[in-house]
Amino acid sequence: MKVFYLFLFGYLFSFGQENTVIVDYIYRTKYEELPSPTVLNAQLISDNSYSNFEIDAIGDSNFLEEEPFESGNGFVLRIKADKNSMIFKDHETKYFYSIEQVGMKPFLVKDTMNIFNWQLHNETKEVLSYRCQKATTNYRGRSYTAYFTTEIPIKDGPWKFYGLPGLILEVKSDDDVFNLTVNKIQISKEALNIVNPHIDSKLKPITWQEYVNEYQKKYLEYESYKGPSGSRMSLPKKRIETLVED
Amino acid sequence: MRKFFILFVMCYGLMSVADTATFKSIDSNLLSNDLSGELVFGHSLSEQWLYECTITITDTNGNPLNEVTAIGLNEADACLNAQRLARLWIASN
Repeated sequence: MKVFYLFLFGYLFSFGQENTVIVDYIYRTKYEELPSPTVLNAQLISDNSYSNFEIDAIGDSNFLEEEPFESGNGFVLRIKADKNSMIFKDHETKYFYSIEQVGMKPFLVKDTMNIFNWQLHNETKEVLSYRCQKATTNYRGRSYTAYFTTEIPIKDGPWKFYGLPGLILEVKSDDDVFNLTVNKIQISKEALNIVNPHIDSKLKPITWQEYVNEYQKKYLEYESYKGPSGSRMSLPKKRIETLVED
Repeated sequence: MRKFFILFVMCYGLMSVADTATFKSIDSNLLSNDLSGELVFGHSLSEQWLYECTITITDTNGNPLNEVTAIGLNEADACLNAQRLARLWIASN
């Protein structure tokens, strides 16, 4: 009987130790060919088994429908999204799911989480009073510097980033195109039901390589496009990730 | 050959200092709500004999999706052609 109580106590204790983090980030991209950066709120919810990273385009309070170029040579028109971008990680199977696009056509990509080859450095700094260690990696065409903490018992990161022995609080590409910085951290012992937001998707999951093949096919098709009045179209070779090698 | 080279340099110089004009005639109905997630900007570059208008279409996270460029006999013509092409592209994707 004693053994039973010990087992029950142990079970309840371990359940009570369950940790979930909700981390708010500022997500910023600045492409050379665009006149201004895009800055959005983003949130990671993780419990070490599953995590979901959501970029809040719908709730963007700084949304501007029209924005002139500083130089006065044009302007920006923005159309508000009706869906937020989400990346779901399944830590048990080590796959993540994201929606990627070829032009405007969406593809559900099921990609392996072990795609980051990190180098750890001794350099540390404090981020929101957490001691963070520096790590660097090259990932699909860009070099990144990240800061992660082991003071929070979660091994995860925002966007697709993963594979460090702690929680990534900051990650930037060295060319400043991609930038994610933490804003707020909430740690809870309450278990949250983190579900794959793409589970009901009508899209069939494909691999990253299959997606890249689709992209390259369309890229070549557009390169040879010659429309009326000398018009032409071109897909970018590189977005956050390189899709067409030079 | 030398004359050709001078002509080339002159043309290049003309293009480099070409008058840029603000493109403000984009049709806001270009992207309807059901095609949300797009961001469009355009500019036109005018010079003596050619008008060109480029519209870059990006998703709502600021990632470029496509760039359409059209040429016209004047600025309005070029922009109209670029809009037409962008509209066609969005509708067919």
